[in-house]
Amino acid sequence: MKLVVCALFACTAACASEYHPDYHPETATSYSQTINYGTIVASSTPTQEATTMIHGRDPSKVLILQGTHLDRPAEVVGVVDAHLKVGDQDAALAALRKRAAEMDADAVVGVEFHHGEAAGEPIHLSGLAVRFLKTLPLSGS
Amino acid sequence: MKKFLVVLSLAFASGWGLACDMPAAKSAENEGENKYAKEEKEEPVTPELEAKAAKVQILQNSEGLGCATEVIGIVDVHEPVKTVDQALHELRLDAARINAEAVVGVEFHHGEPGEEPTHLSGQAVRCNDLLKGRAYDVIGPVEVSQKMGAEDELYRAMKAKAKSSGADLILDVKFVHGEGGDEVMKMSGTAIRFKQ
Repeated sequence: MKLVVCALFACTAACASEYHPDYHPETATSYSQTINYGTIVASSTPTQEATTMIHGRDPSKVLILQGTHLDRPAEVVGVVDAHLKVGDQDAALAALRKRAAEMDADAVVGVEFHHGEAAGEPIHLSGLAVRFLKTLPLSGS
Repeated sequence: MKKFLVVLSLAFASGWGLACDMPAAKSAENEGENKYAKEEKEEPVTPELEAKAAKVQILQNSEGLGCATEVIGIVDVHEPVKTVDQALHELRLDAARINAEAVVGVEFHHGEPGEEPTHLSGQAVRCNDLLKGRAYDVIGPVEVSQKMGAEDELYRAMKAKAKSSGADLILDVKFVHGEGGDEVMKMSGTAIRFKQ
């Protein structure tokens, strides 16, 4: 009887140590991983629109403002008025920015949009091109 | 930030205001591209006028000039849509014609496409401290309005209204052109009387 118990114990102990990760590696066919990629702010291959500088000024940086109240002195450098066919609102906005940049303006204020009345009439997007002043223009006079 | 007042002198009203050009008569029948075109002859564009006009500052704000200012007129250019690029130059010329140093509070209104002309307007001013630190009593607000295209009448009406209330000066003068079309132009300020 003693012999049977000892044999049974030895067998159980052998079974208990049977599993070991080093001897039984798992085989995985797929896995998941969480990776944080940095946000790309400036593409290494910029778009044509972003690179077209006018007089050293990026047209996309020209402010287009519906209002007329500015918190700093601003000189009027011109009137900008884009006329494009109906549906080309985005192109008209881009044209407004481009024209303002050509005038070396920082912003277009008081922007108005007028839809052509009759069929085929162009849309009108217009405003005052202004340049911010660092100093008051007549303060020395 | 130091605040500069835009003021309108009434002391000059009798000697300057009445002696200056009569208001431009407008043609009601002329429904073409520029129905506000002045019929009276303007001072011709000479190299001297061009040189003077080139020095005129055109400012979007009314506070940004850097000196106390006197309003010497309202300038309003009505340009057809297709020649709107010329409007700013015309505004400078108009201001130079009345010896202004700057045009402040400039507004642009495109108007409805078609026959309506565009509007580019503002207050023609020069640096001149009319208040000179004198004490004064406030009489009250003064506001006048006129139909589109009658800038000179508007300016004169403002002076006349304030003068009739016994004012010596109008402070904080504002001009609002409006959207164009049938809208009226407005001019407002605060009438004051100097203390004796």
